[in-house]
Amino acid sequence: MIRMLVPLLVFVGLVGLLLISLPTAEQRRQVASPLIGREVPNFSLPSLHDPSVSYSTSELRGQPFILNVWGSWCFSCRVEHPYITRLGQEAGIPLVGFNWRDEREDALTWLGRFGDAWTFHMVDEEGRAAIDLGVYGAPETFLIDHRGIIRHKHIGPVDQVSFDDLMRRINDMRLEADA
Amino acid sequence: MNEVPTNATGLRHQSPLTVVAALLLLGWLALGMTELKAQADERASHPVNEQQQDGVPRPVQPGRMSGMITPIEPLPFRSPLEERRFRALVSELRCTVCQNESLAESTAPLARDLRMEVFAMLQDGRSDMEIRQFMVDRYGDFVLYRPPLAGHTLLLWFGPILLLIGSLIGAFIVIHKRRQALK
Repeated sequence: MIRMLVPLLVFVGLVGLLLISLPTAEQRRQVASPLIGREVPNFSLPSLHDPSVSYSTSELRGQPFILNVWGSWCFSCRVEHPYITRLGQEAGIPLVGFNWRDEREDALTWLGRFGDAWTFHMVDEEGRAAIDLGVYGAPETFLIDHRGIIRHKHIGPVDQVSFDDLMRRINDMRLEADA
Repeated sequence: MNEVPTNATGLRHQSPLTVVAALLLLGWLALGMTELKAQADERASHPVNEQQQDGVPRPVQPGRMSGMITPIEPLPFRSPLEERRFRALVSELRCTVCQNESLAESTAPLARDLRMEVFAMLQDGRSDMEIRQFMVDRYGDFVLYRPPLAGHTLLLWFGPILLLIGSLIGAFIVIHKRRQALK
């Protein structure tokens, strides 16, 4: 009798193992960034509005800021645009746009049509700095604290739930910076 | 002592076919699991796309790829060895946008950027390990098709061989018992 149960037990064990170890579709999509808790990579990129000016991440040291990866080619960036606009208005810290692999003309037209609530935009036309940031899609939103440490990365469009979450984290970072 | 056991063990009712079937099933399971690893190995060792063999250096355009569809763009390799290393590396690194394609297969712009990055690092004289580490630092272990040997991956690495050994021992016991029973 017990012998007959052995194959069943093996089968149940195997199913259990697979249930535990196979990631869900959501987990597969969200690749945890190894950069969280580490310093933001230092790069210097030209401004979208004035290519003769360039911005670098090290200039922003000393205050928390938001880094939002977007492109005019990215549909989800339009979806999250109202929430990004609210971040720009309500967060109280710089909202840096990271214009990724885009055409300057297209990007400016896009901002003209939908509105520009960002403090300024960096242009990463070649996608070189994006690799250092571990960006693998747009939109992505990074929170960087006053010491230049990447504290959080939101993958995909910001919605009401993630907006609230981001605001909570931003307030924490501001309190830390003031302390 | 040569009394043949009867129904007590149930062995009498098991035809040799059943044992063979059970063995085949176990073997198939073990093979299936090793196959996963074998695939990763094959990706690593196989040249993926032999579209340019003439060795003529072509200019590299690191700009965006609009309308470009060739998975691997012709690159000015300095030696066949460098090209082999490049192909091996990009086939064992996962394209993070598409997730089920390697960097070698993907036509996604990011995959192309990453290939250019791998190429630039090769030209820079960096080792394969440094290049892999570069990717892991930015995208995590996830980019590696061949997962690192660590505590949480022990079962992944040694599971198949343990299963195989386990099933061989099981088969041995069953066969041995049947032999005893038949004597």
